[in-house]
Amino acid sequence: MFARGRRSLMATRRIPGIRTSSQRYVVAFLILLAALFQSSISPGFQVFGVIPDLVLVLLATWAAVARPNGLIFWGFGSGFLLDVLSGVPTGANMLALSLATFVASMGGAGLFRSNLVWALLASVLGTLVYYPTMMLMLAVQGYSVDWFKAIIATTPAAVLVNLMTCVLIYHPVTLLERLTRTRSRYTIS
Amino acid sequence: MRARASLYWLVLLSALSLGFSVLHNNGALSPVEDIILRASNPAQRMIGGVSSSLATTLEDLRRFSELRSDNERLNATVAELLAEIARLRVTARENVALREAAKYVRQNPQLALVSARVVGRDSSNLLDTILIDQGESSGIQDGMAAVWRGGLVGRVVETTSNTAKILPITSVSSVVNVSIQGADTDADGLATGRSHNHLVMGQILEDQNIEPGQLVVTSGLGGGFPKGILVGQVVNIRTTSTSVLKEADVRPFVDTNRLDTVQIIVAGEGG
Repeated sequence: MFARGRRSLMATRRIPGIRTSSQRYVVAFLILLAALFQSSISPGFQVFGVIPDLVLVLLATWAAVARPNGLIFWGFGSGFLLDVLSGVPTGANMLALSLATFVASMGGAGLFRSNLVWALLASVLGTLVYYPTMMLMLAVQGYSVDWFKAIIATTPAAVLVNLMTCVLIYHPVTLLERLTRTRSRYTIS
Repeated sequence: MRARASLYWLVLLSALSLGFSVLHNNGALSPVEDIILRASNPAQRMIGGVSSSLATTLEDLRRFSELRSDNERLNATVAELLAEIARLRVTARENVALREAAKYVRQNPQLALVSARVVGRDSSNLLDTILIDQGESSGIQDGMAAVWRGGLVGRVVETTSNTAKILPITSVSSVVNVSIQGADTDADGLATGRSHNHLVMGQILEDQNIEPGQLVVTSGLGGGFPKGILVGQVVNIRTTSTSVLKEADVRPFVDTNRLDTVQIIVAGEGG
């Protein structure tokens, strides 16, 4: 009786990374959709020569909006999905997105939590970590990487495009987070 | 405390990523990757098809707004075009050669081809690999040539039972043995990929007589590709004072960014 009562007084147990189970499914679906789009979208949609890193921006925005605890796991999982779907050597996106989400979720209790400024900053930081890591992983796997172009052109362009993407998805993601948020329930026995 | 735990997980997941990378290189992940790709193929095809159509429509709309200025510009260039009749004669001759190249497959019945649809592309903006929906079960193996309408697309670099990855000739990782078709003799060299759908042909001997407009085909050297597949057209030639070799800028025959389907040469000379 005591144990049951004590458990009921505690807040609903949180799933690492996502605050409620419904949010977990919603985020999983969004990541799947973003990975499919990112890997299949026509090069005709390139902006400044790059395709938006939808998965990265989605995770960075979610980091700012939902304040999750274990976003790095979602980065790791979505990296695997992206590797397989897009033909990039497996492991490259996994490491790059793990590191990027780690950096993106470092806002913690910082000044910019849960607002557009932090979402933008998280996207920029995530992109700046993601691309060098990808370049390094591809080079290690034996692929020739045009370092000069990647550093001078691709990465700055990706930062800009990802910023624009972040602005576009910030409000829909915020709305979705509010809709799927479940308040912690307390019962008195 | 929380930061330390996060750091711990980061190190662990990084190690796991590297482990996955090794497993991928050993082919141990192929069955899992194959299952995921099979499941995602329909969605990828649908998204690819829709986005491709949408991109084409948007491009058409954009061009429509430019029609007026184009018309004025075209009127102004009519006079110049008349002066270029002589050059058109040369172009007509090249056109015949291009048609011959397009009929390459029909004229080479010894080549067995497998058609495949492009279902995915590299998402990292760093590589240019293309994912197709045919693999080992269709006879596709590493190193085989991918073509489109007789023009070389690239080389198969990785396969699973139902998918394959193609490294396009325009990728910076790609090197292809090619030759420029001259009037008398062919000039051999190596075509390497550059960004923005561009090739550079190097290792051309200085005494070779080459000029812009000449066609570049696979030389068949090295056994990688069958001989005579159209690669592109010479647009510019560079000679340096310090080298006895020349370089040529080559415009690829195939725009790999706009491909929906490719054909893999699974059998035949060199294939």
